[in-house]
Amino acid sequence: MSVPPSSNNPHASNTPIVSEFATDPDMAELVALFVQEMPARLASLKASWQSQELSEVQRLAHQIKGASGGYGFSQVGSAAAALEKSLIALSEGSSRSSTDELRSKFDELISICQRVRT
Amino acid sequence: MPETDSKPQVLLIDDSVDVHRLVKVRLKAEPVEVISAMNGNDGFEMARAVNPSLILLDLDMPGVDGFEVLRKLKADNNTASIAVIVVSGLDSCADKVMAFDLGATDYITKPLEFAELRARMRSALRTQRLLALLAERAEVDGLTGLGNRQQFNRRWEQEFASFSRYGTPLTFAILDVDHFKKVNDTFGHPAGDEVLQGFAKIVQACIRNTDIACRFGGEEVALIMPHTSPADAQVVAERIRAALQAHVWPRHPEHFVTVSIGLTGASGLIEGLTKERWLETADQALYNAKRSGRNRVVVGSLQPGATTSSPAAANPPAARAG
Repeated sequence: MSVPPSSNNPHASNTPIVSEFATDPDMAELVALFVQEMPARLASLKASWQSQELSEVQRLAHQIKGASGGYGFSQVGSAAAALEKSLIALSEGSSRSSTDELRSKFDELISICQRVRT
Repeated sequence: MPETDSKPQVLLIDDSVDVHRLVKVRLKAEPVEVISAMNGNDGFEMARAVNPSLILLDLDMPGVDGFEVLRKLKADNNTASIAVIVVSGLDSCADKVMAFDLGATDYITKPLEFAELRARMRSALRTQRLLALLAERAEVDGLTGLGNRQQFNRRWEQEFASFSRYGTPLTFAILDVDHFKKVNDTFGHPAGDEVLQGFAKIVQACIRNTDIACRFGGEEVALIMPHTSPADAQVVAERIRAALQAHVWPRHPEHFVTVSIGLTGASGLIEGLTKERWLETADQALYNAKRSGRNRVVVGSLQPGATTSSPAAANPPAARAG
């Protein structure tokens, strides 16, 4: 699964994103925790982005990528993976993408994260 | 020793809070108890303290990384035999080789497929159970081929119980190679090992089929002689003492090795005698043997009120004959 190709209006969609494990009673508490903790994760992401600490943004994206799959939010995982990949390419100097592209991947992740619900 | 009616413990060492939460929930239905450590150092300390049946070890941790923890676990006697499943974010061949060479039982990658994790965990626990059973059942000392401490404890318990019930004669002896530390210091540990092996062979050659010889410590052998009076046991002990002294060591024919023996037994029931006092009395007799010149058999008395033991008749030689 990849980042949706048209990212010219990433904030348009506000369809809630629920966990693939929404119907699993064992997972209910954990999914709720993930959703509850999401605003804090977003705040850290935004703060690091603002102060241009791209390595920190990368670390947070990596963490979200790892965690979201386990909680059943694969869309979040994909968006985080895409952002992480861009940041790695940038730091390795192999990226030919513009800062706009990086920005759009960042916005995409933020947007998707804001849509998670229990 | 693991209790059979409590759940095996699985120690998860990972720096991610999410991983801990998810693993705990996903393993809820398994007959295991999951315990958590958030970093390598805590993980190692917990492994030593708790002795889990299985460790799930994350490789990519900041600070003390997974490989370092794995090395420490395998280097420490207390934790070396715990099965370790390594968990890694990378499907790296080099990492897998290193993990297995360092002693890991299995290697799985993230993102965790929990059905697979459960299956691999069950497999590792199955193997662990069998290995533990094997270690328990194999009551033999690796170096000498004599019984190990576990065998001694079991057999001594049995023979004492039998003695207590039926009053049949029973004698116990403790044999301690003289100046063993000097052998190690002078000729090195491999020579020391050879001495112990040679000594063990002599013991086995001198004892009867019904006797039980076990390695009791570094250079000590415990000898249980059921249905044997102290007088008859003394004959066996003396036979061992003489044989060891006469033994020619191939690489050092000019040197001889001797043994001090503390022996104590009973031909019939003695009021108020405990297993522990029996061993203590033999130990005291051994001490007296060492104190009074070594290379001898000293008999201790189990009679209530007896405090000193009488050195037995063995005449230690001045120098090697011939």
